[in-house]
This record gives sequence, C-alpha cells and structure tokens, in this order.
Amino acid sequence: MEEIKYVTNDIEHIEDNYVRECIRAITDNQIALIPLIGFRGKEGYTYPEGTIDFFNYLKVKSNQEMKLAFDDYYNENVMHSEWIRIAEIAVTCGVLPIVTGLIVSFITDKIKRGKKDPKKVKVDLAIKVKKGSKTIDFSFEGDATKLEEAMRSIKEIANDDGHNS
Amino acid sequence: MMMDTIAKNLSEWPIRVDIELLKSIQNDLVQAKISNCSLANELWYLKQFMLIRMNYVEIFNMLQNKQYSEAWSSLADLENTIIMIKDTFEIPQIYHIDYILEYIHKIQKFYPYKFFTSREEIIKEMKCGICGAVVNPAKSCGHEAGRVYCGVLCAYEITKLDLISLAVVENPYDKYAVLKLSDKEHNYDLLDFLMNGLSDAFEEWDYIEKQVPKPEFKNAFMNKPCPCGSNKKYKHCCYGKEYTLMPHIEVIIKNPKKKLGDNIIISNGLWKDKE
Repeated sequence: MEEIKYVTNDIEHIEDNYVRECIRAITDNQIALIPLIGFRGKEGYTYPEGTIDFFNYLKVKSNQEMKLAFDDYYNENVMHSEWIRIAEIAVTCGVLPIVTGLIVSFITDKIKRGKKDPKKVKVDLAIKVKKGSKTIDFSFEGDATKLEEAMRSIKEIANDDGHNS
Repeated sequence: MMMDTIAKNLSEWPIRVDIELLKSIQNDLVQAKISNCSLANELWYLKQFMLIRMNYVEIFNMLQNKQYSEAWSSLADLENTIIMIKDTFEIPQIYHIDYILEYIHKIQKFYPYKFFTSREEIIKEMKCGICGAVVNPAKSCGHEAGRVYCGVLCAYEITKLDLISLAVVENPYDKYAVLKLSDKEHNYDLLDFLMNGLSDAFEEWDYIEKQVPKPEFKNAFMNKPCPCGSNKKYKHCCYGKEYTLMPHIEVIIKNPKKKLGDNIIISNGLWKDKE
C-alpha cells in the first residue's frame, strides 16, 4: 500500500532518552504511547489532542497495561488539520494484532459519532513494533476507508520481519 | 411514576416542551445528588434531553426573529452538547435527539458561514471538573470528561495554554469563530427563505442540492449563438462547460402550514455590502 511507509531502526539509535528507555522496557502485555517532541519548534513533549480518550479506550478494550513514554506531565497539541491523528504507539509483535484491531474500531467509532463521511476523512498514525533490539517504524497517512487494509498490511509486514524499508 | 412521565414526554411526537416537568426533574435531581447517585445520573441525562428540546425551540425562535449570528452560536453549543452525550450514553431513538441533531446540521447548511478562524495551541494543563486534579492519563484521578458522576458532568478545564497560531479554515471543529469582514456583511437570503417557509421548530423539511444552468444559459440552443457573446454556436462554445452551472438548493417542506407563493429566490454569494 502506498500510504504505508516503514523502516527498521535500532532501539539504541533512538535519540530521546524517555522514548528509548520506554521501548527497551516494553513487554508483551504493554502498550506505550510515544509523544511528539518539539511541536512547532516549541520544546517539550506533547500528545495529539484527545490522546486521553485513545489511552482510556485502549486501556479498557485491550486488557493490556498502558504507558505514556513521557508521563511527568501531560500536554496536548491542537492542530488546524481536520485529519484524525492519534499518538504514536509502541508495542511488541504479540500485541500488534489487538492494537491494530482497536485502532480501526476507535477511529471508525469516532467518524460515526461525528457523523462524517469516511470517504472524506484522512488519518495520520504511526506504530513502532519492537522486535528484539530493533523496531519496525510504520506510518500511515491516508483515507479512513483504507485504514483496515493498512492495518492488515502492517501486521503482515511485521510478521515477515519488515526487512524491506 | 416520575420516570414514566418523563420518558412518555420525551417520546411524544410532535415534540412538546414541558417546562413544569423540567422544573420537577431539576428538584428531584437536587435531592438525588444527596441520596442516590445512580438516580441522580439518570435524572441528569433526562434533564439534558429536556433542555436540548427547549434550547432547540429557543434557537428556532431566534431564527424566526433573524437573530442569525446568536442562533449560530447556540446551534454550535447544542450540537456539541448532543455529540458529547452521545460519546458516553446510548440515547434512546424514541427521544428524538438524533432528529434534532440532524436538523441542526441542516440549518447550518443554510448559513453563509464558510470560513472560520482556528487555533493551533499546546494545552499545557487541564484540571478535572469533579476533583480538581491535574489531568494525566498515566496518573488518572478516575474521572473521565463527558461522564456523569452523581448528577454532575465531568468536564476538563484548560488552565494553561500556549497559543501557537491562528489560521483561516473551512471545516473547523470549533464552529464559533466565524470570519467577518469589516466592509461586508453576511448574506442570509437562503436562511430568510427557509425560515419564511417554516412555522414551528419541529416541522419536517429537507433539501436537495443540485447544479442547474445559470439564467443566461437556461434557454440556450445548440445551433444558436452562444449566450456568452462569443459569436460562436452554443454547441461549439460553452455547451457542457461547468461554469454554465450554478448551485441550486430545493427546499421541501413535508406538510407546509404556510403558502409560499413564488418560492424561487436568486441569491448572490456569501457576502453583501454593508448598508
């Protein structure tokens, strides 16, 4: 799928200490949300608007332990964009199928509640899948109607090791 | 008994706003907050459903009085309230709340407000409206925004904010910030037309959007000179071109209580010069 990009990275090369340590420590029963660092040139860690709803949704529906990679304080960035944006997620391969299913249902519910036409809604998301000492970093930017297919592709690529970046 | 009466009123069609019933719900809610939390929560929702209907009638009256700007803000308020409740509560279909939301969206469509300002910002601190704790999902106080706790709605209050930028957008989340021009005023012809045809807030109506030929192209013939004045035949000139069309909205009132007479208006754009 054109909308999906992915690249394999060493965890050791992640610059930010909080993010690196969080991913290094992540286990098979955890889901972590990764902050954006330096929104619009401002220092600090921020999560997309409404991350608290996404966090609580995953917490209730996944039965996994939820973490924020940076949790000293919680800041939200609010953008003009109409795109649905969710915080970057870090998981192990074992939890990925649960998370991809929940991303689809969370975004589908959100579109339905807002009474929007899914054909006109764009989605922006990123997932880090931890595999040993590496992560496969996926990003998806595209139509909400392609989200389910994108999540299926991400699962397949992650299972195939994601060597082709 | 009280609950049955409320449910019956909320299910009635046509919708009837009962102020006395609303007052007694409010009294019961005050009592229940002290003695029975689950009843208080139930009453809070029922009170909101009554208020939604009452507010919708008030907005309709504002529209009838051509208080369009005030009505717009109230419509946005009401829309946000309904969407917020729908986020956490399954509203019974028979209470007609979805019907009101549908009509809010229909009325908004008739407004000339197409451009808005939108903020980009960093919310640096929010506090829980129930317990006052700083909101952090990783260190949750246990209260969630949009949920009702013992008859009180939990809302997060933004206490620290960094404004990054303002932009002009077409489809904002926040519909309050309507863009205005100093030398122009909004053209409310379409709303005037709609409101002239309606007699009460819960009258059923709909609209169809079409593209129709502009008046100058309406009676053009293929082999006659093109109305644009090019001296070419119409079929070799403007025929089939998109610019020969204009948007057209047809309003259908299910059981009109008023006689509309000549119900065609031609309205020019979103703005008009200030008088």
